[in-house]
Amino acid sequence: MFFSDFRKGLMVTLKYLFKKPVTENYPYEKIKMPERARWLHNFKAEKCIMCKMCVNICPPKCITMDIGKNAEGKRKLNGYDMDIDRCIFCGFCVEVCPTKAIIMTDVHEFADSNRNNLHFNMQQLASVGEGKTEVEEEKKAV
Amino acid sequence: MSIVIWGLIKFIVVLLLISLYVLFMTWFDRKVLARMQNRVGPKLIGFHGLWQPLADGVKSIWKEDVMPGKAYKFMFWLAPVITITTAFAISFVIPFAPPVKTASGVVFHFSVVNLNVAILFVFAFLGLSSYGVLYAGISSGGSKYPFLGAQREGAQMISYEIVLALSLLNPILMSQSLNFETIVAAQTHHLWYAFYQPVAFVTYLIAMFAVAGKVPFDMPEAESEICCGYFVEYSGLKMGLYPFAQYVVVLVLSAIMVLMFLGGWNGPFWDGGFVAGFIWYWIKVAFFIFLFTWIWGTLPRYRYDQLMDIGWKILLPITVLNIFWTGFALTIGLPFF
Repeated sequence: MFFSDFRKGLMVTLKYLFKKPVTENYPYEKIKMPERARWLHNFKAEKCIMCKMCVNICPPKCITMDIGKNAEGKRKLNGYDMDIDRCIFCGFCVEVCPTKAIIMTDVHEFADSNRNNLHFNMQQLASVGEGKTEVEEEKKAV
Repeated sequence: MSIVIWGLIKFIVVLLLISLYVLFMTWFDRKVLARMQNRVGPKLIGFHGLWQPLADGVKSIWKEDVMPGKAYKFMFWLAPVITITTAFAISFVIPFAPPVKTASGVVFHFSVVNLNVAILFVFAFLGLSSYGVLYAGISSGGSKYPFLGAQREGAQMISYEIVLALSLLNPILMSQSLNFETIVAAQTHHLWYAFYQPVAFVTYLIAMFAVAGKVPFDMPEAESEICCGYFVEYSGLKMGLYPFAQYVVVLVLSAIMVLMFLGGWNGPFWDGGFVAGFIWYWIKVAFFIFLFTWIWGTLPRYRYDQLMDIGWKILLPITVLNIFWTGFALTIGLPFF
């Protein structure tokens, strides 16, 4: 009779009118990634022991390892390429690495219109997500 | 001669002001609806997205103008023109501020024409404005959603304009005038008519939403049922004219509500004078314009048969009885009338 259901509904919308919106202002304000976010890999060649475990475990087979020999006849890592285009960010390579030479960072804005730009070589992977160390990575694993 | 010149000047000013108002209203609607749903709404172009309507306008100008192959071309073009023309025509008899007495003793009216039969004029053109919608539906070349929308608009207009007119008949009976300024003047010495006529006030409020075709009575353009109804086949600027006209009608109906029932430019306190009147008037009108948006963000749509039930079985008998009561009270001279 006195439109009490209307009034209730109107009061709800009026309350929400003065609430803060929940929208993330994303491309203008960066979102803080959660601590265990699995994004672009960082690879440290000096730690790699060339066991090829990451190459074998990678489900989409996107890691290519080029192992040659140096002057003394020892094994030497010539190249370490990742085809991020095919990577599914499962994190298996990180889990399986015995020396934590490969870790995952929170760098997630690397979309590109050209597929060739998503092929990362050893030098490019080494400079991904500067400052993120394996100490953090260990903390994550705990 | 000066009447003609002044009329032309007022005509152009009102035309520009109302266009500006519609531009701003599209932004306001989107912003308020967004905030009611915890979103932010337009925010990128200009201060809090205030230039968004201009961007939308530029975009719709450059859109491809598609017309169905089977459409009746002349009527298809004519329909938005009728809608927008009638909507503007109604707004030309609405006073936008209290009348001012100039130094030479001539009263300056802030409406394009100060008609003595303004309310009749409003009803005539509200009735005509539904022709634009009907033509849009019929001329869309047998496309079924425009046709359904047009049918609904026809039925809704017939049902609810009666209620609208009959509920406005009560203030007209009490003030014995069809001129807005006289009706407002009649409320200066009394209480506002909403206090004498609460039933007519509520029925007008409900019929207002139906006549404007706004939620919860937006049958002709029910997005979820008939995907925007009568203007489905329109695109670009022609399509934009329909919401444009609807915003003008919203303004006009809110203004009539304030003029007829809420004392126009009379305030509860701080009365008299042009500035006070102007501010009171636009506060009240703005509230009703906001109410349209507020209810849009709150209520779902009525079912079609419920709409007809409310119109014919509830509102119409109530308004007719109310007119009898008003006539009775005026005849025997009840103290409050």
